[in-house]
Amino acid sequence: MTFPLPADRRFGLRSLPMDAAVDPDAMLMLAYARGDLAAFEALYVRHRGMLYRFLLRSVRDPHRTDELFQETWSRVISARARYQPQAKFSTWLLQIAHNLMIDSARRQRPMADGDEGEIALANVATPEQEQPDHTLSEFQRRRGLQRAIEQLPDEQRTAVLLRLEQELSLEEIATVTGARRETVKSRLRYAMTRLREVLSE
Amino acid sequence: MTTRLPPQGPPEPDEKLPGEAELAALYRQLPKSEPSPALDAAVLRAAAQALAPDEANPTVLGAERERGGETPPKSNISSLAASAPAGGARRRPRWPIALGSAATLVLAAGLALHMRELPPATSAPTEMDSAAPAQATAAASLPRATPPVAAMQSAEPAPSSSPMKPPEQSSPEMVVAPLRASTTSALRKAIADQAAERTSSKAKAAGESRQYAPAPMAAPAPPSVALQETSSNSVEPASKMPVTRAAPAPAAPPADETTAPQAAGVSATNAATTPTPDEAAPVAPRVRARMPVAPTPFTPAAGMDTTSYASDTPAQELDKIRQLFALGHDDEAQQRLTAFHLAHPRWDLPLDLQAKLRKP
Repeated sequence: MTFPLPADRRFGLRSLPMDAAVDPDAMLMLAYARGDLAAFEALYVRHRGMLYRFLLRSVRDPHRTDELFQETWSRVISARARYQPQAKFSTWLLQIAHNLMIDSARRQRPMADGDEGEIALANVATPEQEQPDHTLSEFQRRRGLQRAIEQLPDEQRTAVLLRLEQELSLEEIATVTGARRETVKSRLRYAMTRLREVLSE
Repeated sequence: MTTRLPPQGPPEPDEKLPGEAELAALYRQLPKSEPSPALDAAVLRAAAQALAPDEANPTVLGAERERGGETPPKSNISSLAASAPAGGARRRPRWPIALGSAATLVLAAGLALHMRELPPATSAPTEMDSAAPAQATAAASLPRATPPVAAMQSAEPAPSSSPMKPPEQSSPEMVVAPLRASTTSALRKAIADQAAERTSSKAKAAGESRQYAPAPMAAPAPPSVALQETSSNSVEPASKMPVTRAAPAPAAPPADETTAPQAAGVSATNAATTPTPDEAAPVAPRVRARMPVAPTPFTPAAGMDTTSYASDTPAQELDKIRQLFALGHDDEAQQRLTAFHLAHPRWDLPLDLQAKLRKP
């Protein structure tokens, strides 16, 4: 699937005299709500990877990841008519995915075991521009990080993923997870301390 | 899908947690997993189908996934279907439906109004049959060198003549209107020439003044009244109806009033048998002039008014005279018949009344 131009260029979002607070993704979503399918395609291209990775590293099950991925976008499609850009689109999208993930986890316990999730994450292609002498150590560090993230409690893992993958602020993570800002901050502190300990072993 | 959203505005920069930069750098080196192309296609297809006007349900996403065999849906599809609103239907423009409904109503109202103005369907063919030959005669005779003015006169009043047949006015108008536009000057010239002949020739004055006088222009009114009478009188023979309708000129009271002094010297038999005024007229009036109206068995109504009014048409007057004869008031009937004959010497009396007229 090829998308020739970046979304903001295809829709001229950068050329618009927008307020700094206006989210280009929100504008794309509004355009899709008005019937512009290309706007949705641009929106999808911008967020498909990060949403998929967030789901995959959260649930560690490729099949459930695909399912939750589709359902998340289906919710977006269904809610297009009543969408109001009150927050960043990525925050809203991740909130939908997080809620679906929690619902799915409640219905489908136990989750995939660590080996299955590890295999799923290991099957993904590795970057090619790596020095041969550093390949082993980097691979071990990445694998150690993945294992450490998987072993985190669910709330901490979600907070870490949202922080590291999406680079969300504490407020945004609090919005997505439905927790207070200080709670999120505390979860992140515990989680990062645990990750550092694992990596330093 | 109501979500609690934070207040809008640029997010405040968070302070970095200890060791976050190192972890973030290492995390970015993790493999970048992506959704499969089939998954992308399914999502985009669902988005497109949600926008389609006739497929508003985006839950076809699950069906697409099943069809592709990638990852069969296990759960949440039903809840997704329940939670998914009819977004496509909501986005579907509804103004064409409203516009179409309004247009249909207007069309129906217009048709109903038009149909209400139409006469009963049974009378339409006979009206058309009686009007069409006159128009055709007029149209065929006008291009000649000497246009038959009588034909034109009989044709021109036709569109505006009878108030009983408004729907037929459209087709005669369509025939006559172009003729008026193209030959108006020629016709006026011909009328002027013949009017000059009429003034110079006293011998032909009586006949031709009647023929070319403008009085026949207003002639069609009495036939319509006569038609009303004949249509209301159920005992009249059906053969008389077209004759009465097709002969507008001779039955014109204004013409009779204007030409009565001139035609005073003409004998009754000459007036009854010589159809000179009808020479140039269409076939139907000529037939009516030469063929005397058959005597009709008259059955007087019990309460029929035999009083003579000034507003009575000649046909009505004749009916009343005939009723007087039937009631036995021969003297009064004779007087009124004589007066009628003096007033309308060229009126083609029925045979029974002609017999009564010759009696004294």
